[in-house]
Amino acid sequence: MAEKGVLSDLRKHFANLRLSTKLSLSFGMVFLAFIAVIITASLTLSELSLYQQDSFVRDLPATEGMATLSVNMRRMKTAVQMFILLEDPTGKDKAIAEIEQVTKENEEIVEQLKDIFRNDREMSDLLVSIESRLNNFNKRIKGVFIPAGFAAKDLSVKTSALRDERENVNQMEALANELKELTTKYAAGQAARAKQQAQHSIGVLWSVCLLGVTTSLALVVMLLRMTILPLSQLTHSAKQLEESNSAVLVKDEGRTDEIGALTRTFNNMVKAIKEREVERDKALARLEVSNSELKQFAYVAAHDLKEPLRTISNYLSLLGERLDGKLDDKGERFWKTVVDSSHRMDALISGLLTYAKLGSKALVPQQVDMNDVVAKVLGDLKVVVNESGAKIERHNLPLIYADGTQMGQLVQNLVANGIKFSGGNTPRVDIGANRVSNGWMFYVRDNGIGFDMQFQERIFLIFQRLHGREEYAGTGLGLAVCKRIVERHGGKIWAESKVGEGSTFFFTLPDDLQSLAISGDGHGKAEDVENFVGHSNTTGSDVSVR
Amino acid sequence: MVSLVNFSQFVNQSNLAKVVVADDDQSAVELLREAFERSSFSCELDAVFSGQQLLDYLRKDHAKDNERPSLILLDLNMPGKDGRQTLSEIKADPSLRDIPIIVMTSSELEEDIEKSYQSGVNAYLKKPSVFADLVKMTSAIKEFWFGCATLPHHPLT
Repeated sequence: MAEKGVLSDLRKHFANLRLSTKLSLSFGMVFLAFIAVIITASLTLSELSLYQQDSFVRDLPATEGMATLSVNMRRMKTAVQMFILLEDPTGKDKAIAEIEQVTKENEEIVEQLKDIFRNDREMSDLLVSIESRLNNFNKRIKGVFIPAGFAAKDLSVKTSALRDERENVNQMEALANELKELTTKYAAGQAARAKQQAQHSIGVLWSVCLLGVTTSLALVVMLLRMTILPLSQLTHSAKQLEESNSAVLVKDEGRTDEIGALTRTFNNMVKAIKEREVERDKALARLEVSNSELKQFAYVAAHDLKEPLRTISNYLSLLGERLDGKLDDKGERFWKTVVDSSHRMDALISGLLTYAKLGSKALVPQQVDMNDVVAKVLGDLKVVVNESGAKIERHNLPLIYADGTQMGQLVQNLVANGIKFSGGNTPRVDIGANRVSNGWMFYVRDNGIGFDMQFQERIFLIFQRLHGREEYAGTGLGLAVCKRIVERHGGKIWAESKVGEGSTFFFTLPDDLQSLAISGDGHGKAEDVENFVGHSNTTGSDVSVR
Repeated sequence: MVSLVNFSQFVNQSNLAKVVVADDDQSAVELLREAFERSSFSCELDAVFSGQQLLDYLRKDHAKDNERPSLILLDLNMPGKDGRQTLSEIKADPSLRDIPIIVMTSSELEEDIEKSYQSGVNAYLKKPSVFADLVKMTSAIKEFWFGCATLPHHPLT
C-alpha cells in the first residue's frame, strides 16, 4: 500500500513536470542507466583481473610450495634410509647434510606458506599442524636417530634401528602423500572459486543491465502515456469539433506541464466556440425576426397607407361632382393638383405594395417558355408599342425554370423602360439570351437616351429617379422590382449604357432553379433560392458582355 | 342605418332584398351606400362594424327566416374578430353557411384570396380606388345576385 502510494506520488510529481524537464529527465535516466551498466561492467572486469592476478601471486607459489614439501618428505625418507645403511662416514655425513638441507628448505617453505595463507584461517591451522609434525620429525632425527646411527656399527643393530624407524619413515611418506593430495585439492578449489567469482561478476553485470533497461523502458512508457495519449485525445476531440461542432472536453487531470496547458487551452477554445455559436444562433434568430418584421412592415405600411388614400380619392370624385362648374380657374388648378397628387400617391403605394409582396411571397419556379412570356408582355404593351411606333425584335429565347408571373413583370418593366426613355427617336428594343456557365443571361437593349454609368447602381434602388416627373412619368420602382425579382431567382441584374447611345439591361437566371421546381413546398424553395444568391453573384461576374 | 331605395320589382318594403355589410370603416360603408344608390340597387343595406357584431346580427337579431340577409359583404381587416375568423365561423355554422358571402377588402395577399375561396366565399372583390369603379362593382353585384342568380330562402321564392 505504502509503496503504491509512493509510486503514484512519484507519478504525479513526474506528470506535473514541464514536458521539456520530463524529456530531459527521461533521457538523463536512460543515460544514467547506460553509464551504470558501463561502470559495473568495467568494475566487474577489473575485479576479475585482480582476482586472476591474485591467484597468480598467491595460488601458484602455494601449490608449488606444497608440492616441494611433498617431494622433500620423500628426499628426507631416502636420506634417513641412506644414513642408516651406509657404513662409510663420508656417506653418513652426506646423508646428514641432505637431511639438514631438506629440513632447512622445509622450514623456509612453511614460513612462506604461512605468510601466503595468513588471512586463511583453515590453511593456517593446517600449516601449524604440518609444522609441528615436521618439528617432531626433526627433533627425533637429531635427538634419537642420528646418535643411534653413529653409535651402532653392527648390521643387526642397524637393521633393528631401521625397523624401529620404519614407522617414522612411513609417517613421513604419509605426510608427503597428504601434502600432494592437499596440493591437488587446493588447486581444484582455486579453479572452482575463480569460476564462482566470474559467475558472480556476470550476475551483477546482468542485474545492472536489466535494471537499467527496465528503468529506461518504464520511463519511456510513462512518457508516451503522458504525452502521446493526451495528444491523441486532443486530436480526436479536435477532429470531432471539425466534423460536428460537438467536441468532447479532454480531461486535463490537473496537470501543470505543457500538455496540461494545451488541454486547458483547447477546452477553453471548445467552450468559447460553443458560446460563440450560441451567440451567433441567437443573433441569426434575431436577424431573421427583424428581417421578416421588416418585410412585413413594408407590406403592412403600404397597405395601411392605401386604405385612407382610397377613401380620399373616392370622396374626391364624389366631391368633384358636386364642385363641377362651381370653381374659378385657380380653384380648378388647385383641385387638379389635389387629384393628381392623390393618384400619384396611389401609384407609389401600389408600387411599394408590389415590391413588398415580392419579398414576402414564396417563390414557386415552374417551367416557363420565355418566348411566351415576351409575347404576352408585348400583347399587354400593345397600346404603348403602337403609340410610340416602337420596333421590338425578339430573338429565340430559352425554356427556363422560374416564376412565370414575375418573369412577365420583369420583362414588361424592362421593355416599357426601353420604350419610355426613347428620347424622341423611334424606339427599338432588342430582347435576347445567351447561354452562360450555370444558366442563361438575358438582355434587353434599347436605342434610347441612356444614362451616365455613375448611376448604374442607383437606378436599381427603390424610389430612385434620374429624371424629373415632368420629363418622364414613373414611380422609381420599376427597376427595383426587376432587381428584386432577379435576385429572388438567384440571379444578377446590371446595366451598361452611354448617354445618348441607348442602354442594355442584363440579367442572369441560374439552372439551379430546376431542382427547386421538382420537389418540396414553396416555402423551402424560396429559402433555397435566397441561399444561392451569393453563389450566382460570384459567377455572374465572368459572364461575357458583348 | 337602414336605407330604403325603391326598386321596381319589389312591391312592398318587406320584400326588399336584404344585404348586410361588415366593415369597421364607416366611410367605406358610406361610399358603398352611395354606390348602391348610383347603381339603382334598391335593397335594405344593414351595416355592422366588426366580426362579432356580424355574428350577433346573424344569430340573434335576424335569425328568423324572413329577417335573414340574402347576401353578406365582408371586409377582412377588422379590429377584434376579423373577417377571416368570422368567415370560418359562419361557414362552420349549419344554420348560416348557406348565405352567400362576398369578400370586399383592400387586402391583396394571395394567401387571403386563396383561403377565402377555400373557406367557401362566393366572390373576392378588391376595393377600388376610383369611385366610378365602385359603382360598376355594385351594379355588377345587383345584376348577378339579384338578376341572374337564385338565392336560398329568398323572400320571393
